[in-house]
Amino acid sequence: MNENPSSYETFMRLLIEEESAVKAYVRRLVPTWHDVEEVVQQTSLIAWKKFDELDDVDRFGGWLMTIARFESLKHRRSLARSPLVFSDKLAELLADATGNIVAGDTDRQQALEGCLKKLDQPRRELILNVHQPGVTIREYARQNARPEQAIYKSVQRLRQILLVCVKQTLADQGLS
Amino acid sequence: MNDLRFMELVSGWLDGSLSETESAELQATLEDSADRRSEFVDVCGLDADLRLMSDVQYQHVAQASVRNDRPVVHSLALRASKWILVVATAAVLLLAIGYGIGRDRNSDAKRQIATSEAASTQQDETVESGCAVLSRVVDAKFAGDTQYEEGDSLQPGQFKLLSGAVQIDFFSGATMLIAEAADVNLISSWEAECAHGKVTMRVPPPAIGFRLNLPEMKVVDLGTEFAVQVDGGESSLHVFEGEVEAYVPGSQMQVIREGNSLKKAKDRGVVAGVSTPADFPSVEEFERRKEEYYQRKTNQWRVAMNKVLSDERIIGCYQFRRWPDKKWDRLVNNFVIPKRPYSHGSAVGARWVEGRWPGKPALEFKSPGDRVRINLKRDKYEGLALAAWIRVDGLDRKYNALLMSDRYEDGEPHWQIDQSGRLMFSVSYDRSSPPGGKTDKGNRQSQVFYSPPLFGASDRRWHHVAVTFDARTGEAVQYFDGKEVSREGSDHHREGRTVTFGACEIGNWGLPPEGVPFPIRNLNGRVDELLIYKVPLSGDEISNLHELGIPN
Repeated sequence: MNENPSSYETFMRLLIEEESAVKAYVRRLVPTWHDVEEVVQQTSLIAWKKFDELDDVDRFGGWLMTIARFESLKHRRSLARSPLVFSDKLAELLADATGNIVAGDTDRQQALEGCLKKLDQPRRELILNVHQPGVTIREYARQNARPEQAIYKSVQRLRQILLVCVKQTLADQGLS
Repeated sequence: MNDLRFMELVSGWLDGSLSETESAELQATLEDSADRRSEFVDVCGLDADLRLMSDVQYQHVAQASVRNDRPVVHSLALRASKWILVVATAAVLLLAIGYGIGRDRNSDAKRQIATSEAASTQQDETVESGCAVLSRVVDAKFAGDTQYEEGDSLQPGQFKLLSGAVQIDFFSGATMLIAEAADVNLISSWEAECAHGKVTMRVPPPAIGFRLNLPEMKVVDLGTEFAVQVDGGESSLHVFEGEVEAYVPGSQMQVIREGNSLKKAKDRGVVAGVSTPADFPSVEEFERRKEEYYQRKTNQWRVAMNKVLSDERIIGCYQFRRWPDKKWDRLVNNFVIPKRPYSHGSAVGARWVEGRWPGKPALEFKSPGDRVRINLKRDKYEGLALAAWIRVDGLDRKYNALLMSDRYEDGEPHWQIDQSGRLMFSVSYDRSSPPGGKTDKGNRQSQVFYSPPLFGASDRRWHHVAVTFDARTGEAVQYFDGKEVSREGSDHHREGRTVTFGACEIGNWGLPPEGVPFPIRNLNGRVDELLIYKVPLSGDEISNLHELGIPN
């Protein structure tokens, strides 16, 4: 393992840069956010252990994704069978898929922030609240005394709205 | 499968509510279609972004909900508590918005007020100067030459707004919101006239009795919120809360209560009606506009910066973007393309604060430990250009650092502000450096290029500063807010010189050599952008960089 403090500093900086990208990548391969956190943690650990094998830091992003891909597929095998766990074949296909949005993380997140601000307050609160760490829609519905199905529907619509808005915003900025 | 059904299934998968049959349906679709897989990837990315963001946003939203939680209150007893809510809300707003600039200018305004009060005790003939403070300005254009800014104190007299929105806080405690074209006349801290436009007034108990005059009626407030509209010969009054006295010439005083309105056109009778709060400026609307305005500003700036950061001559583009995740709080990215990950900055001590506009982060340097460390390697260049947006809060030191190379060795630059407010730039050169020969520290020389004094001891406004240096000719040109302020050649110039950076610090001097005079050179102020080029830019280019980053 690399014990050089300045190399650790470099590693942390690179990891910071890629954090949201790697989480977004892993999200499609494992069924819950909890799984995402676990896989990403494992991924960064392994990346640090192998960091001195990486000869060109400019290739860090792709290198980290390769580790994340491997770790995600490995993690899937440890999961119990559930409707949320896709077939191995599909998981492989998804691991190689690319999205329509190609803008950088910061631009994409900035666009999303703008889109969230365009929502009226109750809807903005809803979409952010259900994405809070540890919150499930079932629990959220119960606490707010609202029908569970209605919340699923609203969240689904909001995802659709936000996705369209983010794409549009990025397209307007010529970033798409 | 149609889009709606697809989104329903993906959404169900993300929420963990998918049944066995639904899962089979989704999987079949994804296996069959690469397009659907792309869409799936996008939705998963959105989910990840929302989760990363929701933690940070939550607090903001919680505060916003306090703001909007304004129940319709009818009983008089409850109304008092609503006022308390309004006051509390104002306090929350102030905290939540945290106008870095506004607050500081407010203190300037207070200083002005204090001065005028002192003057009035000394000189009896001094009439009351100032009756209100301009507390908020959103994308506003004013008639005439005066460009008001947030925090300016206002003298009695005409105040004409062409577009945008402003809030005026009268010294009596009454608050006036104006949106779009309006013409008002400030008479005193207790009285104003509206000749044209839409105005909303909030009058808390201390300001009860505030008078607002319209062409067709006079309004005296009894502690309330109301709005008026003056359009041509027609004046109308709308009461949202509490009550007001309306005096229409030729008829008796009427008390207009909450929910009601009164309209009076020239040569026509008085018409009573229902008030329509949505038609008038409100604090909520104000906040929304402000957010929108700065969001737009940020987007425009971002688009402009995308060109800047991919310029082949740029080697450092520190935009001071703050990461939503606390873990990465100390990272100051170099955004140049192609990426140079080794050159990302690391903030030490310095705190994240508001930058040139709300939503644009900056780092604040206060104590001798505060700094941002960067390393640009020791490549040699034929010149350089440095350009930064800074706010100087005080000139505490004899020399106050902007960008300082650690060692100040052959070809390395120092960029500072001296205590008298002059920009100073220098490059260290060895007096003689025979090939392979030993260089001697005592043999260094550097000519310091000074601008005229530009910064006051407590300027506290955002400025664009820049310097270009051509190592081939030894000429340095300095700029302030896009304009050239000094141009000078070097008396000791020699052929074949270059510049280089190595390890440097923003806002401090990392490694002053032993025995150097005034080794402590930390900046007291804020930085929210620093660009470093490997060639001297032209005056027009510097002027463009200034232009695209102007806060208002």
